[in-house]
Amino acid sequence: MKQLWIWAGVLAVLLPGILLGQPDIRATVDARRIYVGDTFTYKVEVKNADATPTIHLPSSRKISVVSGPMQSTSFSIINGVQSSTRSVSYTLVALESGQLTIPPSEVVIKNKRYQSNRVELEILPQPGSGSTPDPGSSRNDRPVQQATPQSQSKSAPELMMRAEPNRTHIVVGEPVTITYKLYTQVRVYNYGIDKLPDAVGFWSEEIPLSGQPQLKAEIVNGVNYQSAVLKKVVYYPTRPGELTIEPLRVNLEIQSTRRRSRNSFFSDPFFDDVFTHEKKVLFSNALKLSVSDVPRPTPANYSGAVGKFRLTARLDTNSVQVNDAVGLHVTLEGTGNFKTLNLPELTLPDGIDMFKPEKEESIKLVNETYQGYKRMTYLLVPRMAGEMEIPAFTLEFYDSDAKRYRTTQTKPLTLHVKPLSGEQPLITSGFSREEVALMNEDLRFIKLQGANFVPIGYRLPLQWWYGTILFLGLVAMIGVVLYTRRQEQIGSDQALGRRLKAYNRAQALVKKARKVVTDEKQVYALLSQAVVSYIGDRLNLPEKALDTEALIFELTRRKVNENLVNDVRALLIRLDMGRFAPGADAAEPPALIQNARQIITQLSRELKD
Amino acid sequence: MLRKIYPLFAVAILLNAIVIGADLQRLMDDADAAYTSGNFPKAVSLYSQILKSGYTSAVLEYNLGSAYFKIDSIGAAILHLERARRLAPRDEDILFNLEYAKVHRKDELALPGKSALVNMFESLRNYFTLNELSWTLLFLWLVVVSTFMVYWFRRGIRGGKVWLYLFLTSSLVFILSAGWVADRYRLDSREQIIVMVDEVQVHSAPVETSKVLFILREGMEGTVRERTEGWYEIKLADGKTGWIPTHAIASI
Repeated sequence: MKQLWIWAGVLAVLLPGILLGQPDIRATVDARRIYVGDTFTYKVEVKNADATPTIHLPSSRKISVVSGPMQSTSFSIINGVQSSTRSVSYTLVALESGQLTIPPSEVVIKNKRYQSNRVELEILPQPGSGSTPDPGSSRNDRPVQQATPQSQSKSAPELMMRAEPNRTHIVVGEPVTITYKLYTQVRVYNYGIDKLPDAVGFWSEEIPLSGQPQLKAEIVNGVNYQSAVLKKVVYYPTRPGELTIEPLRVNLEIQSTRRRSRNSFFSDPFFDDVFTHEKKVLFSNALKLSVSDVPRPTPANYSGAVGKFRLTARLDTNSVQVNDAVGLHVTLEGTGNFKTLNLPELTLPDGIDMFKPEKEESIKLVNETYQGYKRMTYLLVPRMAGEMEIPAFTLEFYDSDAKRYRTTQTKPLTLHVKPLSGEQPLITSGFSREEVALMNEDLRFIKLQGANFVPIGYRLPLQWWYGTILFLGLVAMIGVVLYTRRQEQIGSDQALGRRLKAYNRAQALVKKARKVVTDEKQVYALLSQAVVSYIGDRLNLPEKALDTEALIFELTRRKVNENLVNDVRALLIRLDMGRFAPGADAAEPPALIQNARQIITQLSRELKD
Repeated sequence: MLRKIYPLFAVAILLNAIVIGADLQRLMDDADAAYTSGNFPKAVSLYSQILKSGYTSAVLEYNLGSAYFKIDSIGAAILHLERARRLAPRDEDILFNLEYAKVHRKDELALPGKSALVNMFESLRNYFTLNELSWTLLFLWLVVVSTFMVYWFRRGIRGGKVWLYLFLTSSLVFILSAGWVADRYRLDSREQIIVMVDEVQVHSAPVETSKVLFILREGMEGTVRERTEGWYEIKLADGKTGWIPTHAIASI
């Protein structure tokens, strides 16, 4: 009895679908109650339909996509009935506790929309741990405990991520290194970090880690952990204030600690180990850093440089001639926020031309700060003789260790510019060795052999015959292709062949008739053949069907001019009469030939396709 | 009727060319004699007279350029030697005298040295004249057409494929050569100027009162970018641009 009700229920559910021809579309999740940080799968299946459903995921802060969409299709034949299932699934992670509703998904089949059921989920807070990434709970002075103190004593989290800054009080432009460390009590098989966290107001660069993360035993609040550094990032604050670095998200694959309620009979320790991987998403704490501004007032020429710098300048040579190039190298070396730094501008006295400087830089991350140099090489060309003073370069920077402003300055440089010496050819360092050697030679003598004169401005490719030859080649190639194609077409198309040859064949017969003009009987026969075969070939009529009446019928059917049809009929009758009843017709053969030719010409005009 | 006249035309043109050639050659000989005897101004005027006839030649431009150098007109010397180089880019004497004239300019641009690879590329690019390249292109075109014809009539026959490959290869070579011809044509048609006066001021605008950007000395070369009444905007090899009055320059 109970079974009957179930069947009735099933029927009641399925019947409308069957009757309306609605495809079976269903959305499911693999768990209705989950904890924050757990992953779950949302799947939409369509049965017996040739379309893939469109999924509308809610734009909720409570969940985030781990992977997907994944599509799959399966076919099955049961008792001769074929069925297919298409499905699309996402793996999602719960981020915040609360109720979650995933709206219905849609599938469009033959321009009709069908909707799936909506799915409701309950996300529970992590028991005994607050691994919810809540920026409000973070501290800015030390690594934040992820567990609340109360729950800590009862059960420490088996996994946690910490963002540990190497210092917390920094000034604008001073680097802070944040080490992202994973603390775990379970085995971690794999981890993945998709992107660096958002950090508004910072300029960040990752420090590459060598090799796989190394595990280290560490005790945190009396609990034993294995810890590993997953990432190290250097952040340069670009403005003062309370700045936040958002939590880093890590996708983990860990050994599952949930007991399985499976039949323990099949439970095998080896397989258990392999098949109990669990995916988990973990967040580090957010970090709030108080970034103080550099002390005010800043020096007049302060460039924003923070660190330790030294500025040097040097000339290739101190003594040159007018118009001779000399290199000026300005180098800034040290440690600090190089990347956002520009070298001081060069102000030159009058009488020196400057060419675009060449830039060169070599900056490396050493001990978590940038170290190296930036160099500009200016090419100076003095245009006047005399003592040229190149003023000192100054860079004001903030020494974050000494906590005060400092200045680095180059020495002013002096360039002795010697005047050009008279009319002699100049031999200065502006010329290469080859050029100097060249000056010691003499101009080569003129050529006395005959000259081949050409019109001034003569350009061979512009001559008319040049283009013509190129064009003719192209025409020849295209012509050959078209001609052979046409020949092949004629060869394969008998009707076309007959039609094209019709006129020539008729003309040949008329010509033959003219040669035997004395033999009246033969003239009649040839002319009759000419006219009949011309019409037959033109219209592709079977050879056997070529009697006068049939031809006249075909011509009339093709709406040929009535007078012409009558002329054809009269001519053919006269020719037949002449052939079979000689002497009955008085017409002379030459007149007949003329008549036949006219008619063929007229026909060729009339029958022009 | 026309058919009978054509050969006459051809003969007339040929004769004309020979006569003109002979005429010009006589002038050439006089000029060469003047140069050899050390009368350079006379040589310059005789050589220039030949140019006025509308004909030129590599030898003529070379000799004229050399004569100009002898009378200390470095700008004109470089101008004519450059023209000679365009007509005969592989002639060592021309290249030598051109370089020689250039190092005697009173001014030199500070240009960054070019790498060996760039130098090789540039010398290859300038190795052939437009005429030589055009003849080669025409020959290649005949190869392309004839290999195509052979391929077309032998297609489907054993060994016919070879002709297809020959046709495709020659087509590829033809296209590359066409690109080279186009490049050479563009280079030859690019208008270049040479400063002919001792010193000229280059302005920021085609107005006498505008700011003077820099000064060019005789013999400096530039490429024309734009022109207005009495002024050319030029670009130097080091990238500097400015407006220069046309009375101070000559086009190559």
